[in-house]
Amino acid sequence: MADIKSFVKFFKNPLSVIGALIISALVMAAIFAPVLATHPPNEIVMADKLAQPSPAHYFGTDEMGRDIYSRIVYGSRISLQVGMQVVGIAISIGVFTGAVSGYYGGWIDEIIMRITDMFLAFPSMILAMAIAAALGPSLSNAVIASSITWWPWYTRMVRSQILALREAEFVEAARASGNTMFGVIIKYILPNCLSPLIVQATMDVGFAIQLTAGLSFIGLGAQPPTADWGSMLSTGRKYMLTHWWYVTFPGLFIFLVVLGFNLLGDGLRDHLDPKLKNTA
Amino acid sequence: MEKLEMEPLVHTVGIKKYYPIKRGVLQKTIGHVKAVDGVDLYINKGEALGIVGESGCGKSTLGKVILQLQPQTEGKVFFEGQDLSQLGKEAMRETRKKIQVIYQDPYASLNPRMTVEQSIGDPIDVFKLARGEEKRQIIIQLLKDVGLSESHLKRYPHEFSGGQRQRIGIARALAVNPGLIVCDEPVSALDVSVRSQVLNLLQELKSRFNLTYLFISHDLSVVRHLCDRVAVMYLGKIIESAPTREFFVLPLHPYSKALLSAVPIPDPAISRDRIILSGDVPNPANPPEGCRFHTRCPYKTDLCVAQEPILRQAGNNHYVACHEF
Amino acid sequence: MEEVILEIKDLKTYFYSDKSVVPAVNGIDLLVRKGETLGIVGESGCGKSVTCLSILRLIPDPPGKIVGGQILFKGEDLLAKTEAEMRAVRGNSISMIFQEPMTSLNPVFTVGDQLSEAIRLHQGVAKKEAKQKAIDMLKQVGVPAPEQRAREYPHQLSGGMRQRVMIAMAISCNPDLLLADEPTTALDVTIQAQILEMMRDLKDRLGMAIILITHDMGVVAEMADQILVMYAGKAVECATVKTIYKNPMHPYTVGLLDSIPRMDVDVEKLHVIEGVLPDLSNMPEACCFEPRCPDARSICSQKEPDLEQVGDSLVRCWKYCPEWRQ
Repeated sequence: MADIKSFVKFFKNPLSVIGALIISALVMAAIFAPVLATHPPNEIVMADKLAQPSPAHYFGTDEMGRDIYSRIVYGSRISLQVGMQVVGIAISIGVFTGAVSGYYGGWIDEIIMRITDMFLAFPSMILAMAIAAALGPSLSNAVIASSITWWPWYTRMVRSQILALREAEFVEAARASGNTMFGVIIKYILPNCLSPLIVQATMDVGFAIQLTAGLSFIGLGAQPPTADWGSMLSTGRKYMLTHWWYVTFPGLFIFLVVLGFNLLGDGLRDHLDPKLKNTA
Repeated sequence: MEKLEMEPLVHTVGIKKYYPIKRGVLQKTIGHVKAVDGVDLYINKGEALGIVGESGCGKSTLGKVILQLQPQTEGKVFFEGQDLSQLGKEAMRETRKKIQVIYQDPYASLNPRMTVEQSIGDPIDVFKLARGEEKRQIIIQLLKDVGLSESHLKRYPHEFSGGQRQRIGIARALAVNPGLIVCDEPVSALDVSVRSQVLNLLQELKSRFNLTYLFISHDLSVVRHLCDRVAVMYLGKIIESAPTREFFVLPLHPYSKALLSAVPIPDPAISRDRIILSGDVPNPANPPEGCRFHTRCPYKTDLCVAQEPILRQAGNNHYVACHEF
Repeated sequence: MEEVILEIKDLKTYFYSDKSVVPAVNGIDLLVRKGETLGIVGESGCGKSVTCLSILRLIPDPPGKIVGGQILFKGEDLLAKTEAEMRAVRGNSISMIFQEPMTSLNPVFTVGDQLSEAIRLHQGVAKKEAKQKAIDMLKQVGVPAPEQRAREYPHQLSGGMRQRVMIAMAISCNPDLLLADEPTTALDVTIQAQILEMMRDLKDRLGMAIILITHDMGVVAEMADQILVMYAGKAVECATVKTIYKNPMHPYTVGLLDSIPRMDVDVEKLHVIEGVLPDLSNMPEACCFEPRCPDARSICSQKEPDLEQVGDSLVRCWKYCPEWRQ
């Protein structure tokens, strides 16, 4: 599947290349943050407060004189970590419940589906806010809150994939050759759900970053002085009209990262599912 | 019930498989599709039994019940004298090793994400028959048996043509040395020139490994070529069964006669008296009273409407369910 | 000799993808006379259905395109017609029936409505008259209780009944030519026998010509007057039905006839055509059957043979050319 030819083909689409570049830049920034940053992210220099972008401070400084560029570089760690965690937790819950629901059916399916209905009935932001507020404001609670609003989507997706695959002849053939239920799910069903799952997960990392940044923005996520893009945006709001750089750069980076994951996800979809590409 | 001359490999007693029809918000059962409605049959070791019939007659469902992929509503399946419904979960899994299946659609019956080696190796893993190099050698031998080669090991199903995929499916079924192979329309999806290759392969493997086939097909000429005995199904019941040679020369049941005469012969020089049946197969949710075939039978009498005929012996190993006999 | 209804000269229909060109039909000549049935036989991918769709100019473009040849319908070249003119031909003087009738019937209208709609569209008769005519048509194709059936939806009918409805729709405008693409493949044998019987009867009564596409050598033997055998987008043999079955010339035809299990002949082992169907996007400039041919000689892999008259048949094979002996 992942041979060189298809790898080359993936990079023929300019949009997927842009997506891949943005995401690799983000990953690089997260890994090499200490090297790339020009200042320690939490170093307060009151003398330099709210300085304009300049060679000394590429993106300017905030109200406590902290270097915004360095804070954004370090913030990429948090963003990436948050995105991965949210999607990781959501997928783990979603794949398990979806597989059980789809393969066994009956009353278990009924119960799981009604629970997902309940979760999906709320707008995700409102639900995440409610949960984060109940758990108390902190970054890890924001991650938990985001994950809880997210898993039902995966449950539904995995379930519908499995419903289609359960009837597939090769799955029956696997049962006929003596595989246990568990073996059938692991060896035959899940590998065939993988491509749409990967695509969805890639896109969702971007959205999860956006959602947790949103929670941080209203004060339910990362707490000061953590260098988090969402909370930077939140404090920067006060200075929006007078010091444009404070909100612009964190906002721009959230935008870029969400865009990057989306482009990458789109590219992967076309790549992993040639059928869709031809009909589109 | 049919009389048994020796202990058969498989026999079934009164197999019934009903599917509930559900309607409405509360999913109330309002009736049943009687896909298989009381089938007794036996297959001797080394024999190929052909099950023929038109779509919806229940032949595929019967195959799935014998494979125990679908639980029967009523009746019993015996394999080597053992009642399969009495077996525990583990014992049933062990028995699966002895009953394998080949499907109609070679495009759907292989896992697209598994290489040939993984696909064929899977049943070997499941039953822990061999590992490592020994397993690899077994797989290579199987590939050779079905006319493929070692070079195909690492390829994925989509890289093969329909006929080749069917060969992979056959190799997979053979991997665990089964006693019985249920072949569910194994050549219907293949092109004519490839069909004969696969038919010859099935025939050759049968005599080489002394295999027993339950060969489900709607194509009478294929059954005639490959099977030792034929059973005709109509609306969930066997209405005639006989040794192949006898059946094709002297079919007794009016439905069998019509079925045989309907098969087009690829020779314009032969003209035949064709029996054209009127009407369609009735709905299996609501089969006709009396003889199930009476709505289409050209010879029906009052008795046929009133009473259902049972399968009676009409010759050596020849059974027919018709009041005329 | 009856009047010629359809003549195809050197038809070429290619399909284009970013990577390759697939010559689905690559030089087909055929001729159909009034009241005659031409059977086109071949395996999947041989181009038989594409030929049919090309006649009606229904090839999806892109990726497909008719790149050469002539399709003369009663002397007029269909390839020169505008799309509007073609619409008047389709379903009117040439109609088509497909393998799976369910996909060609609209599930939300009753069959009576669909039939009378087709009649109104092409014949411009009043609604009431069209309705009556629809019921007549259903009666003609042997649908029992046509008044009641006309009020039913496609899913309420069996496969055989649906195919009858499709045929009723196809012949409702008295076409000169009926294209039947595997009309009985999805049906059971007893139903197939009914439909074939009805088609024969209709042909005799209405005097239309039929092009019957099938992979079943038995069905063509019973239905066709002329047979065209196709392989890999090319016609390899064309002759009357009696000639083909009595004296098949092309090695592919011979192999095809020998490889089917038969109800009237016993064989210990079936004849096998070795190898697999060729990849159309990568065809050699030689005889397309050469890799699988038991009789192939060196000339077969060098040059492509032409379709030549040999005895009563047209055959595309070097075996029957003077070059063979060299």
